Amino acid sequence: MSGSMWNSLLRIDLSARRARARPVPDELAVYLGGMGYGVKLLADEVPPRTDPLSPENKLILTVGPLTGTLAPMHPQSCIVTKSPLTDGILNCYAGGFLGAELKFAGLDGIVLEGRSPDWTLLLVEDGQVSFHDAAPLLGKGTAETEAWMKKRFGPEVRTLSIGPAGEKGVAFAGIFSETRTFGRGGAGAVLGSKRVKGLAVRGSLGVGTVHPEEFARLVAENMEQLRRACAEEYNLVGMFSRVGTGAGMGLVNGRGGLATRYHEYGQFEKFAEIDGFAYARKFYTRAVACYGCPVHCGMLHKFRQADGSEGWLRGPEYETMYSLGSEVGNGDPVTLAEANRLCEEYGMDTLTAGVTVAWALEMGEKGLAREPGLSLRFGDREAILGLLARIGRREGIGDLLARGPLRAARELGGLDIAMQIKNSGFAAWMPRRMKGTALAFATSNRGACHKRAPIGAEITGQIDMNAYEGKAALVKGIQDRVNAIFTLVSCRFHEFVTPPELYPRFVQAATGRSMGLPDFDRLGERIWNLEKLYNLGSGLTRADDALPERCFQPIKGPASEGAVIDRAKFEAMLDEYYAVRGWDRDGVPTAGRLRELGLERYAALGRPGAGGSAGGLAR
Amino acid sequence: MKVSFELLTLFRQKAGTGHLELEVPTGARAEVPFGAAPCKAAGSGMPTVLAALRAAETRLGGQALLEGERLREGVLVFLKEAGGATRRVFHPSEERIRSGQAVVLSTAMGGG
Repeated sequence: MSGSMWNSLLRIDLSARRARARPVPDELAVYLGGMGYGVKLLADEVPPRTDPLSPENKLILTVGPLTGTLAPMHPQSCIVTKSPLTDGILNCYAGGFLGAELKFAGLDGIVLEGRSPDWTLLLVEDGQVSFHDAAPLLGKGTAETEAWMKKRFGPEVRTLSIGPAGEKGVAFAGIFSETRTFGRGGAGAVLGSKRVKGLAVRGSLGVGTVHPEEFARLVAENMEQLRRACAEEYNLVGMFSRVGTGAGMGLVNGRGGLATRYHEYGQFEKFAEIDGFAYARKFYTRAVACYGCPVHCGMLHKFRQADGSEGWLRGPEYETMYSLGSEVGNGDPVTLAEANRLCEEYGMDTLTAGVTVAWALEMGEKGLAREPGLSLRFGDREAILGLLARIGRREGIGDLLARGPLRAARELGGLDIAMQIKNSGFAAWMPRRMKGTALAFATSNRGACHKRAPIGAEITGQIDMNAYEGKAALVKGIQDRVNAIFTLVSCRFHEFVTPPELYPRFVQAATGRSMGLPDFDRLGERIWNLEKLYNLGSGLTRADDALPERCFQPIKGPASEGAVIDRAKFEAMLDEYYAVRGWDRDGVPTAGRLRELGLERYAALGRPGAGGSAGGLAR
Repeated sequence: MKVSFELLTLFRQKAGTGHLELEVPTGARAEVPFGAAPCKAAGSGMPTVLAALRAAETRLGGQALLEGERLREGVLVFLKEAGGATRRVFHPSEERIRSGQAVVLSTAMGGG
């Protein structure tokens, strides 16, 4: 063990039904953990042209040096794989308790390789693996699957699972972990392609640190920062602790940035019916926390469904309030909750699912799409729920929508309005309203990513959201910093309160690895470039760092002044971004920058056709 | 002068409404010597954002928006034009509210 990391990766060969723990080599250890481990392992072991749903793809589940320690807000684990949605590299995250349990099991990560001959459940106990028949669970939803695993393996196991969408290869199927979700990019379809229905983990080991006294001081310092934030009436994280992540929807709407009716409008007249305050006011609510988190932003709501039965739902989270609310023209909180639950049941990312449904609704209103038994109109409850179910089952038009918004539009038309980047549906923000966020969405390695964008600064007016100037360097800085933070697998909200200087101090106290904040950011930049090389190798180009045509048309309705992207200014901003990154005009990292980052041996990775045979997003 | 307020997030929740209209004192017009045209900062019958926020504090039952003349941490204030465009106000004593403008009150949203 090296401080808080075990230096142990569990490799599970599903084809041979065999597992073995392998030590972490030094050249991997410098990536700290989490996203860093995942990206480097994928770049080293899975050629970029690999078919994402083939046995040759790998699914890499990792934790970081602060996982399972007393450091607050580090409950998450990370999955890196090749995405069946974007055909590029994917990193996605889920909170809850799975990450800590992996650490307690003596592991820094699990690498799933090959394809099981039969559908299987995996049980990992202190690093030992057993395989269990999953046949009784096929077709079952995620909640039922996880409840079954807890009944079978013991209530204390921590679990993840896929639903029918993952089994059937829906390109935006997620992996669910006790109501938390590895949502983006289709990791659920990858797990399904490996015929793994679920994973349960149980651990009994303690997690140490190299400098326990310094670590305890840092924990106390950080806890005090978080305690103060939660106690302040107007603090955002404090607000999250009281009403959840939907607390800020009113501000976004007020600034004309709440994507509505498939991004045609920036304000939704019924926003106050579906925001965090509305859920807290209308429904019995209980807050729930992830491992080691004093914020407890997860909100359980008890609601009466349209059929009169009562049900519990965790969420909806902010992004879902948009994707299954304003974006589909739905102002009914019960319909929204039921749509959220359907996505959980089938195991789908609520973001891309909602955005894809919204596209189908607009196509329906234009007379370009139809589905027997459904009236494809914004706000139509039956249409929203019906389309989600059809996607989850891959029935009717759902089979087409299940491939993602870009592929569906290529088949059916409406490509110019498909709100996607790299086939990933837009997160809950309007690039036309926020120019830095436009750049962040376009250049995101996983497509339309909201986790690495200047959203807070732009929507609060800290910086001019309509300006193009200065956004390139800002976006690069955020992308690099967040990537670095994701090597620790910190909750994204941790940084809202925590001074960045604390991260390298935590790393040093936990692992003994000495680094300053510039080193930490440089690690994030190295990972960003490695991801970029992987995407270039998979066939993605500058043409994929682009915004859909709708972004170049003005937003309709009130509060729309200045809410349009100027094409020439956007392209100039993209040029500037590439230059700031040290990339050429095609977005290819230069040899000099790769050398500076210690990535020169990966230059060939970025050449299209670098191994493998398939390429899914080819134009 | 009557000033319109748009209440968002926590403030909307606390007030139980999204809109308020309050009478806000404009303060005495400054003396304008030699018949010169009054400049904006000299007082022209337009209330400051500071005065508007003080009126809002009272109307909201003592909800603290200010620390002295500065905004309390976490409070966001915007001036909204009739067309809907909003601009952040950082120094409420230095900004005046023109006819047709509304004051928007919110707490923050994060990300990035």
